[in-house]
Amino acid sequence: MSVAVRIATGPFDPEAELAAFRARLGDAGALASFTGLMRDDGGQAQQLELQHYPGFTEAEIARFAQKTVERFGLIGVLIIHRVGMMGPRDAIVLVAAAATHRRAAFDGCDCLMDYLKSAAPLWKREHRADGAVWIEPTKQDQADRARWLAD
Amino acid sequence: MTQLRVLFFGKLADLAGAERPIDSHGLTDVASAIAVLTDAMPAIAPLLHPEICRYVLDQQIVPAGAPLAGASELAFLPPVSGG
Repeated sequence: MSVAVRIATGPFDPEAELAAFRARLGDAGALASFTGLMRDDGGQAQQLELQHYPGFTEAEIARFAQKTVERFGLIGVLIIHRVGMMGPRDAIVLVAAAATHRRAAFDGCDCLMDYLKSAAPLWKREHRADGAVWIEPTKQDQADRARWLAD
Repeated sequence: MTQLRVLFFGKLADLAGAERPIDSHGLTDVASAIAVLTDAMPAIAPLLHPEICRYVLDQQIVPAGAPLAGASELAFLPPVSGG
């Protein structure tokens, strides 16, 4: 078991993907996962657009995921990130980390999400009634990511 | 004519288009390609600054001083955001 990274150009079913990942796992005692969903912000956000750099984005994410596996001693990692145009309630990202015990699984999942939010080669744009705007990581996103760089 | 395929992403692609071939004959390094691009499109100059932009040559992250040396693809990555 190791690292699986996929860029999804259309909708995906996070529950089915997680079940398939769990079925492939060996002797894991812990499986933590995170699913990111598109909010509609009270009807303000109409569509979300994600861009990637085909080939490079997958390779960079896989490189970081491999380092995360080694750092936390994970048994396996699954990352699926949607690109293109999506609508409210669509799944944007699924991250799952499997380990022997829970702490490594929680930490691995958390660390991978912080990387995807503010360091992976992805570009996110919100299309709202009043126009489209490129999103940049917030101070909180940067601080979340910095937690893993400190040690 | 030796062509270099230049790729832009995010807000850079809004200004410069997603893809633009340039003639790389006579260009030595990434910085010289940036000079050609900013001459043609002054609006993108601030976004190509090394403090906010990453340069990727044939799928490898490189510094501005990296030689082009027969590379076929140069990508400019503005600040990222996913998840």
